[in-house]
Amino acid sequence: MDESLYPAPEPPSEPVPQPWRSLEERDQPVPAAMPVPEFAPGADEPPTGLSRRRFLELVGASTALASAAACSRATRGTIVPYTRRPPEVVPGVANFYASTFQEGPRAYSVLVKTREGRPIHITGNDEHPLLKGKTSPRAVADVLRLYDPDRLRGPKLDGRPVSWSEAQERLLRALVAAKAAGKPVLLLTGALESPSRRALVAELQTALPGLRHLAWEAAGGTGHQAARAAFGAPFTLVPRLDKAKVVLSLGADILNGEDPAALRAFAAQRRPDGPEGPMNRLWVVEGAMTLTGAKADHRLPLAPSRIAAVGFALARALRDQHGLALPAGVELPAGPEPAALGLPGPLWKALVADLAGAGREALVLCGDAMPEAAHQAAHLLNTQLRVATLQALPAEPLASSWDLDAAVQALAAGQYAAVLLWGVNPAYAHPRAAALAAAPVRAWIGLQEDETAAQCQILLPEHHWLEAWGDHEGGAGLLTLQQPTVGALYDTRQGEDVLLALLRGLGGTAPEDYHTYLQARWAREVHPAGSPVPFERYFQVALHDGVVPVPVRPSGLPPLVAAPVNAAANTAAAANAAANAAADAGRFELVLAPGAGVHDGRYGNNAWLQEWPDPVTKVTWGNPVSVSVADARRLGLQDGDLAALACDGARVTAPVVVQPGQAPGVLVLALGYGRAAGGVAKGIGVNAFPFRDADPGWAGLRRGVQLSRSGGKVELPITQGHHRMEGRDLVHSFSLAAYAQEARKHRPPENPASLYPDQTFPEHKWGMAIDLSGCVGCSACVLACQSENNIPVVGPEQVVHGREMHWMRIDRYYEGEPEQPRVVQQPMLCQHCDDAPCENVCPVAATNHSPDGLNQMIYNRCVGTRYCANNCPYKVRRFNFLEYTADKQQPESLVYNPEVTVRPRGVMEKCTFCVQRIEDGRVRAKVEHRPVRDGEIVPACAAACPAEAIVFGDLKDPASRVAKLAASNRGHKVLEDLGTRPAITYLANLRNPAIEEQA
Amino acid sequence: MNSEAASPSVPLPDNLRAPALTVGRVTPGSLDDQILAFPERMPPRKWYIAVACTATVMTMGLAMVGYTLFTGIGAWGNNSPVFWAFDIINFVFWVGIGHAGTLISAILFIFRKRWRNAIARFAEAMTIFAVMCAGLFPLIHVGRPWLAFWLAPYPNQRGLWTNFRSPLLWDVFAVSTYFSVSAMFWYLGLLPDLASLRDRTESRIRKPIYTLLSLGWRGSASHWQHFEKAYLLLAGLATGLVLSVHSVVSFDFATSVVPGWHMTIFPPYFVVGAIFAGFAMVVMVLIVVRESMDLKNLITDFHLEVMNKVILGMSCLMGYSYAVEAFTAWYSQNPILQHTFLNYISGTYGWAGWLTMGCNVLVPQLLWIRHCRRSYPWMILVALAVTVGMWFERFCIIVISLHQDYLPSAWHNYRPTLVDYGVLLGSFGIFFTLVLLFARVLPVIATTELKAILPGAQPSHGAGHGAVSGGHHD
Amino acid sequence: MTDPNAGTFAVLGLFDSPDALMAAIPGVRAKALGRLEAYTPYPVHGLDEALGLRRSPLGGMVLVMGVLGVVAALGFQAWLSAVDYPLVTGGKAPSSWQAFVPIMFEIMVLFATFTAGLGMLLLLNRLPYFGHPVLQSRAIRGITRDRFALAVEADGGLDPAAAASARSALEAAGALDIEVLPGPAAGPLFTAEGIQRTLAAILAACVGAGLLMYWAVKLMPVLPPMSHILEQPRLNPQAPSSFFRDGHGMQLPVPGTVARGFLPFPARTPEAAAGMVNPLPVTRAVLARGRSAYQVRCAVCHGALGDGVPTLTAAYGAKPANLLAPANLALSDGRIYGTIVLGKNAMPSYAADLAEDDRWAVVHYVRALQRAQHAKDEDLP
Repeated sequence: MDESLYPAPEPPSEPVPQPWRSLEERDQPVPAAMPVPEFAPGADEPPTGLSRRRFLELVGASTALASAAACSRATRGTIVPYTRRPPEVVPGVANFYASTFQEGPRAYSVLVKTREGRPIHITGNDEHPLLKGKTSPRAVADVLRLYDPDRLRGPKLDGRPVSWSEAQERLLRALVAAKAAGKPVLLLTGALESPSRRALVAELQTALPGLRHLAWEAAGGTGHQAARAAFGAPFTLVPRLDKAKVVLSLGADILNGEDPAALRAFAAQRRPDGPEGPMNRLWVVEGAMTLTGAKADHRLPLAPSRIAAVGFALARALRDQHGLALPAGVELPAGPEPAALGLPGPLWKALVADLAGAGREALVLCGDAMPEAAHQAAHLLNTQLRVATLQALPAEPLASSWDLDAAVQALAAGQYAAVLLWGVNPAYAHPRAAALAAAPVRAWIGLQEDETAAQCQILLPEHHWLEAWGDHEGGAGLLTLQQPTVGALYDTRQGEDVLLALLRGLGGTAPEDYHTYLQARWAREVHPAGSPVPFERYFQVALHDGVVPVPVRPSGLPPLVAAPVNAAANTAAAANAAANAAADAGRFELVLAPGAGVHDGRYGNNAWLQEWPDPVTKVTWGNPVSVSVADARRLGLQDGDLAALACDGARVTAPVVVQPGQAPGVLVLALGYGRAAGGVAKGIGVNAFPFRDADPGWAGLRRGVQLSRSGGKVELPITQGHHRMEGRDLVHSFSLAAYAQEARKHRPPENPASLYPDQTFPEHKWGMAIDLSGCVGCSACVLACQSENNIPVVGPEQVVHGREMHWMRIDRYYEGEPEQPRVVQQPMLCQHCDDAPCENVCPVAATNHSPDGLNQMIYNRCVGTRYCANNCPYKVRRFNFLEYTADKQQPESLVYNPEVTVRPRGVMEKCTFCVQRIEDGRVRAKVEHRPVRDGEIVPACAAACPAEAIVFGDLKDPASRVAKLAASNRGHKVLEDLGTRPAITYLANLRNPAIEEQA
Repeated sequence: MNSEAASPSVPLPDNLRAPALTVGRVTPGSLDDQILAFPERMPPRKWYIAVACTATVMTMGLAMVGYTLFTGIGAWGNNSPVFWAFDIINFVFWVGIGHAGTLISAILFIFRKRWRNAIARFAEAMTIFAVMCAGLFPLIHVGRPWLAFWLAPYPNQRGLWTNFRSPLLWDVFAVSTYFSVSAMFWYLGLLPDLASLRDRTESRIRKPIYTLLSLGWRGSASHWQHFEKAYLLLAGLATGLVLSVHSVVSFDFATSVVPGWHMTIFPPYFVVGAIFAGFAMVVMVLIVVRESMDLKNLITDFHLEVMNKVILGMSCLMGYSYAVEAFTAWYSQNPILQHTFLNYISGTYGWAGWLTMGCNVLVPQLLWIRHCRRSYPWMILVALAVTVGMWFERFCIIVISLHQDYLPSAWHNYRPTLVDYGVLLGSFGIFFTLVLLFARVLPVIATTELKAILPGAQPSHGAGHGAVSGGHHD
Repeated sequence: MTDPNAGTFAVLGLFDSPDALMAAIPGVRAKALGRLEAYTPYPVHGLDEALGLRRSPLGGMVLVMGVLGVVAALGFQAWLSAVDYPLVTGGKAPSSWQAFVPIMFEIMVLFATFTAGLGMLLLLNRLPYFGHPVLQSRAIRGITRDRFALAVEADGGLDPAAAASARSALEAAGALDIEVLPGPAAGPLFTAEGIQRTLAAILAACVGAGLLMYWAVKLMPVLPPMSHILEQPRLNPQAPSSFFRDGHGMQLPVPGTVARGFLPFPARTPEAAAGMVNPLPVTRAVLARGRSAYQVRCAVCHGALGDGVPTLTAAYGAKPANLLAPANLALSDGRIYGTIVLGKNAMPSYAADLAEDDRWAVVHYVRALQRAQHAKDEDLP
């Protein structure tokens, strides 16, 4: 294995042997006339150096676990090489494809890592100007859905498998009949942010005039309607947190990783070089506890239905105290005063002053789950402050729940001849969708047979996006392309192909497949006219980069329409009064936010996301009801107690999790659980959609909910059961004001006396620096690590036992009183200690120290005494208590990273600093006869971290970023006094409070 | 010692006389007829019933072990951070039990405590069986038991060796050494008795077996000379060993960084605990043996009382150790260590801490009372309490220390499964089954050693040493 | 079983108490008839002095072996940890000796105890030995029970006179019973040496077998090394797959997709590529790289000289281009590059086999070949 990893120059080879046809010829002396290869220039010298091709072979051999390849066992079994190897693929070497992951109205430009033509890992697209290689956690995890064995593997008609032609034929007949009869047809899809897809639907509508299209997002909140009302047309507002100095979030969870660009920009503002800043300030007014609230410099827990009132009170205060005029036509009625809203006076003053002071550099954001009025307040404030921190992009109209209700009633009334559902699951996610069954013809295009598919006759299985073509609007005036990274695994087609087939069937002219259609449209509309580059090349380059700029540039904030804002102001006042009444009546407000992992339920079957700890509650596998500390105390509820939620008609029983920092009178229940279909998703958690308010103005928030303990208790599959630091010096966190003196106090870590001479690291000393000031705890790293390192999923029971396998966890600690805690996050992974306690105690030396400073774990030598894990003060070692992996069959096992050993039962494992990536980088450098470049080797977690809080590199190289950060005056090591000498330095968390914070 | 023997003319007052080690008239011959007869007779029904019970428990336990080997350690309650639980608790517990035997046969031999002779044989046997039970756990507790042999540093074609810095490897050496030395010690002691069996038995089956086992021992003076020398040397070495073994076991904990494990007091603390638990177990078994096999004349109340005194002394030392732990926690001013100690008495498993101290420190104080030292119910009560208490002490050390260590984020509670309980019970089944078998096939009392201290056993005006009290003929 | 014509081995007198025995010894000893030996059921104190036995050398043996154990353990551990298998664990130097102490102690005890036990049995007491005359005597039943025997022995056999006087001496000493023992029964199993030799042979055989096994496995690896984790559920390169329809684990990229760093070749024909310029400088390294690539991929057809005289394919009647031909001298770099990528006539595309830089390096090398064959004076340095 070593030979192949570090190829030595081959020994001089024999001179090229002469070919001979017969023994005579062989024995004859070579005729002088014939040029003798031996004497030909160069031919008599051994091939020296190492060509890239050879290197690729070597990397191939080595990274595909050459130890296995070298072993006599591996020589058994068959080898199936490429018959004609495609130029870009070298067995054992990864390829990267730029593509796009879409989730509702959002599109993420991603880079898909493939091995031998199948995707195994997803990261952000580094060519994207805003994302810079970052992406959403769910994008990373969605590669698993590609290999989900529950996918529908072929079209079905009335429950029996049929051919595509038959299924499409049936659908087409219905449409033709409808066209003839002039009856309308309903097309229900998710948000169509893809321009080509939109164009296609439009063409279909011209071919089928009766086609009614609704773009509907199950978990969609109020933001869309609010913007449409406030600005007269649908807009997507893109926050530019890189420009914002003061950010006020009205229940907006901007830091949950769904918007990596925003998170990246925000985090960049949280890492001042020194005590003098600069550093932005984050105010959060919210009911639920979110990652954004956890990161806030000032956080005001408040019932969401009151937040609108706060917004308008702010507008009044800005007008009265700082003379910031309201936009034309807006006049605000007197509303509840901050004191009445339960906001502390000094904090309020500071907030108002802060916003006014920041002026154009201020930014007010409102959460999608907040009532519509709150959004109007936010728009008003932004307009009033004339902020330069928001960009507006024209958006496609989305259907509100009212639109959908209307359509469903029409269906029930038998007005529609047929309904075609594409990538939506109303039967699960829309409480009043039962009438779907009334449509005579029901066709469904989707990935997995879900609740809706169960109600349809024609089931048309769809490509996973990793198998499909497409284009998307990447936000901020960019187009991103989506290209397949693997051929269709099953007998599926991408939805667009179905529409094209229908288009052709309805007499329209359309190409055979969407790929052609896409290129044609791009040639027409995107390819700049008269460009010297031929379109073919242009498209290839676009695919290569994955992102192209488009003429449409985002504008600033459009002019505000007065009427809806004024109306909202009244609504806000009324809502606040209602909230008072409800509070007296002991009724709760239920926040219905999409689940962190499963979103609106579409990822319910993704085991990675199910076992991904909720970044706030740390609960896996389900959606318990979050209850505020005060209410829990009042009702005598504890974690795991079963409680019944009821609100006219809707009723569920779910376990309770007590959430510090949550506003009293507020409950939180994640959407997307309680699915009735899907091998993994089925029966996990409870379905919260029935609680969604019919009024789109209040989507995402249900008022007047009753909570009663229903007896009984369950054990929550929670990965962190203890939330206080017990006064231990684990995470450093101080305010920007205190930075100066902290920096003076700061001492570089000194090494305790030792019996033994210090280790020496001849070549490299790998290390990591984690900036807690940047880290918001979004847990993207956890998923990236899981995908990169073949980390098994163990299931809820095992998590209850405390046997989750994540190599990386985000430790979240609360400080201060539980009603209004301060939160610190600390990514915890193997510290790769120089003096690692785990290494001493292994009787078989299965874990030991590498010359480049890695604490390495040799799985095949491990007998599983678990002593190392006991002796690890950081408890970052994971043990395979049971057989979690061996039963995995294809397609599930196809997602495994071939460069990483899959661990069987009885073996200890832990973070390796992605040693496979380190070796890859080292080999590349060696082959190119150069030292390893700083930042060339990036572990999965660092690559995924949207906040760029994780930096990896060589501590021996003083010029490297990591070495500089390790020497930072914010740096400290965890449990330093144990003398373990960790290789990871944590940079202290910084807060930037406007006034001296209450302890 | 008993210098009064030097001049029988001056009789000593009774309270100064060493207590008689036997009751009634015991001659070498009668001793043989009493002890060596057991292997020759068929056991009574109650013995069969007892074996049936223990064997059932043993089988059940082994079934549980099999289940564990089949499914993996996940069958137990172990989790992260409590990676060790019942498995290592039982290991330490049984190794501890296994300390009384060698102590009695070695240390007491060196101190010339002649009362040891009557009980040494049984205690040594129990040592061996206990160490066998203990040895079971390191083997089955590893994640890949079929590779457990990798813990032995044997030359292999992969050129791999073990890590000699790991306390676990020290354990391997210590426990295996301890086992083999105890076994040899035991066997040497058995040798003359086997010769006696050989020469008294008529059975055609047993005779050749005993002949082979006794290696042709013929009791010649020169042999006895070397034999005694060897026995003395073995005793001396075994003394060092018995002290070292549990110290090494304690290194598993003491050399780690886990708060509550990283304690300098651990080695003596563990050794004391081991002797403590071992004596308790010996007392319990001896009572049964003494009653059921009618050995009251050889294992007298005096024997039991002396052992109870030892137990009492050890109990006080345990109390001292606990106090030192508390003091260390307080004096270290280390919040993490203090947290761990408070956990022992007030945490999720605080009850275990109190149970430990109650059983190990409070209950044995009963033995200050002479009546309790001599009455079965009381001493059985104490012995049971000590056994339970010592098991839970290891529970505290291992589980309580682990379940809340350095990073609060990683804290997690522990709950054993039925399999855990099954394996624990099973180990008791194994132990008592072996004890019962031993009681019937081999001399339960070292007749030779006893003969040597019977009245009149040594020449009265021979060379001064070793003469016994009342050395007059009759 | 007592063999009459075997001489008298010993005369043995029985006594019923240690005192009687002790009392008897001086008288019999004074006669010096032969070796005096006593047989007792348990160690009788003072017997050794009375019989004048030498002190047991066991203590010295044990001491030596104990020291040997310490040294062996230290050497063993130090050699393994520091020399043969040096690994850094916990920041400790491989030779850190502090951790070796516990095992040194254990091994010391192990060596010492086994010396004491086995040394006593095997070496000093010459046991096991089933053939000793006393074992066949009447007296033995008493000896291992409660009788005390005094024997006058001679390995060569007592002469009748000595035997007689021994008998009388014992009678005088008040022996209850007197027994004359014949010499030891014959047969290897009945001599201590025989038994010990057998045991030694068995031991040696085991050690030998172990070493043999070790070297056999090491030198001819018939057994694969421990490889439990070798069977991986993951899909390795070039492995077959039952899942994909074509049975290949390795799939082809979807047509039309573009992987990072692999933009498709823009030109359709080599001619179209003529305009491309070689991005690589002409350096020794580049030429070396080009040469190795050329020799691996091109020389087999175009010949090591590039003169189209193939080293191998001539056997198949292929007519590769002579790169030194005037027509080819005129070709532009881009043209040659294009040919490499797209192939020409019988020549397939080498795009898959030569990475981007290799292709350009080959172009340089071809230029070098051409120039080498048409060298001019000014080319000479």
